[in-house]
Amino acid sequence: METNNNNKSVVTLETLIHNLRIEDNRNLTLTRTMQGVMWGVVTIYAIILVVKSIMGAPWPETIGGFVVMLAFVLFALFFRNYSKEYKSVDYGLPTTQMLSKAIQRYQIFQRRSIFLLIPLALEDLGLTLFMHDFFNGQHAITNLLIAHAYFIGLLAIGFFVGYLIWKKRHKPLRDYAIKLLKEIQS
Amino acid sequence: MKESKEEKFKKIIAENGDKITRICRYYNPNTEDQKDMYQEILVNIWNSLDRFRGESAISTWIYRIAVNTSLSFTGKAFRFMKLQVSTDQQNLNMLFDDNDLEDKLRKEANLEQLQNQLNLLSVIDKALISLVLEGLTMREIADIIGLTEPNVKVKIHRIKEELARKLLNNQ
Repeated sequence: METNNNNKSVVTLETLIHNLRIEDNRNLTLTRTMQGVMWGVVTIYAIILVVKSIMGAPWPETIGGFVVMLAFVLFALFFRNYSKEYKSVDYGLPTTQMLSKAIQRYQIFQRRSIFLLIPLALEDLGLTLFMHDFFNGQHAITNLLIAHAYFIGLLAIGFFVGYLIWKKRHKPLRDYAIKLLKEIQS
Repeated sequence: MKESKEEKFKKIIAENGDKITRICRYYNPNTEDQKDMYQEILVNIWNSLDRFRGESAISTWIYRIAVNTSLSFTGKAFRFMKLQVSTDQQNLNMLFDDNDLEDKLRKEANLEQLQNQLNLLSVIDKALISLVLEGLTMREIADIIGLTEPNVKVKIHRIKEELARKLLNNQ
């Protein structure tokens, strides 16, 4: 009976290890694919910019394209680090540390989010340069303001959707971690 | 030759499987939930294994993962979780501070009542009591939870006092 039980547990463990390995490989492949796609898009975009520049595209368009590309790379790097941190929760830490990290991780506004303003500003600058024709002429200022109103409006919608997702998915986890930590430290 | 992750993992499970099983039993009344939690702990051991630098004893590390998993596991449905003490009757002595053997035996005999009271404990208190039932020292529990030793002593003393008071009131 004991042998059977042991055999059974060995088989279960083997299956689990097999599944974990598959999961690890899947994550690795996904990360590599994402990185590949990102650098692929950046390379193609860079080539297009160079070709357009050689063919005599106006300089604001070329610089604008370059700035937008830079913003895209910064966004991609930021979100790669962000998702890496979410996936790699260390359960081997002392409970109070694990909870403190969870509270920090699920905070809606983090200090490092300030760095997101850099790619956002670059995006804005890039689009402004890219659409320079639209901002020339008699109604340049009005057009500039309208374009920025759209840009800020889209950002606001993005933030609001992000807030709703945070409120539904992350806030309950953060509240629970705060409650547990308070209880431990009381 | 360097051990592979898989070999290290298997060795850890072979040496600590019983500990993990007991922790799962403390939290879950039925075997299916125990199996789910056991599997979740194994997954977390696997995922955290690369970060284990040997700064703490392996048993402390395993208990940390087990307790931390139990907190997130119970977080999903902690209202339904029960601390099961039926398999550790002998360890129940650890929950009483007095040395009166007769009194201890009387209290042990009242197991069902004790279990009811344990089930009413908060999830953190259950985690602490599960470690006491495992026979760990205050120092070890402090290392697992991340509190100072005196702080753990005070907390556990408080829980024990509360349990004793409730048991006396119910007799």
